[in-house]
Amino acid sequence: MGDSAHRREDNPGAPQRPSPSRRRFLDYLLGTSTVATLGAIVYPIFKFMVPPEVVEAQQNSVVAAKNAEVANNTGKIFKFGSKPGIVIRTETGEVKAFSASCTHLDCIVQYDPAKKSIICACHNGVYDLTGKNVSGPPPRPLEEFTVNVKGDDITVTRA
Amino acid sequence: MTKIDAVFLWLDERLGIKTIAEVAQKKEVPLHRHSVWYYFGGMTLFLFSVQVATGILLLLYYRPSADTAFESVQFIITEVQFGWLIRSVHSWSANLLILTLFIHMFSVYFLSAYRSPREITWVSGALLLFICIGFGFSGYLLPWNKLAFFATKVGTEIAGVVPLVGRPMLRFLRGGDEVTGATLTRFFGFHVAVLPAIATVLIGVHVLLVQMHGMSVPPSI
Repeated sequence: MGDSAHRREDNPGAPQRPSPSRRRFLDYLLGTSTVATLGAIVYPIFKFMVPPEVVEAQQNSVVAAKNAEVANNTGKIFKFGSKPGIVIRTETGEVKAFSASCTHLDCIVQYDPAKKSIICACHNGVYDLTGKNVSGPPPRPLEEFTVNVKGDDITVTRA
Repeated sequence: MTKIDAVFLWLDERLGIKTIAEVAQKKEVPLHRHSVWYYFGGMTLFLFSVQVATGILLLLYYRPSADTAFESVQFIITEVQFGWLIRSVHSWSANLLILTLFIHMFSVYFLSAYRSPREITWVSGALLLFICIGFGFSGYLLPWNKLAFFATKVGTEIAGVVPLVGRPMLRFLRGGDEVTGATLTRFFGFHVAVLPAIATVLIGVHVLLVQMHGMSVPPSI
């Protein structure tokens, strides 16, 4: 576009060229409509690629295990919604439940009958039977859940 | 010599892009009363690239298995932002592509553009027609709704009545005796891997030949 305008300037016999302001106006129109068109294509594509937030109905209560499944001095991992939980029966027969996600890096913790504590095998984190972090890298205690034993079912409820 | 020229020269010595630039610079375009019919090949190519782009986008959320396919399509059109748009563009553009493809084919036929030396261009185009119909047939099953299921059932049944090869062909298409989840994953594979690969090669040959031979001039001109 710029080239042809220059050539016409060199040649006085050429037909009257459009005034620069009109040319600038037309360039502006062309430019903005090109940008708008590209935007109308690119914007939906980028929006499409952003994964939508999935609203997951939070589960507040779940039957974690049957009474017979958890003997004294053992633990069992259960599914609490989409996250893991652990239910433990201590040596004295007390039933407790915690979130099984280690507060360090989300590994799944397990009950260690020899140490009588909850351990995380990934980085040697140790929690006591109240969920308190006692040694290793975990920065916070495990979240404790409320336990109800009704008949044969051990029901765990988010506090 | 400016910096851009230097970069161009460096690339040209290694890639020979000057030849490509020269080919791209001088193009003979058809300028006669039949010119309008020459638009449809390019339109088909454009719609094909729309299909590739929107198809890749749909792949981000589509799940090709019997118990997730339908839900994932519902998820795309109700939950994903502009999902309805991307899916509709894919579906509409597919239909328009078949339309422009047929117009392109008939215009080439009636303008006798298949004449020597363009026979291979014609044949590769005819193969592309079958590939595109294959795209349509396999893509139709993917939403995994009632319409898709029965269309595929009937469509594969038609393949099944061909003498001798019909029965094995039906079993090959369905991945078994019935239209099941096995058919779905199979058609998905055809739709996003096998057919695109073949189509890419054929389109490459087809477009390259058009560039080599230039535009055909109808005998009546």
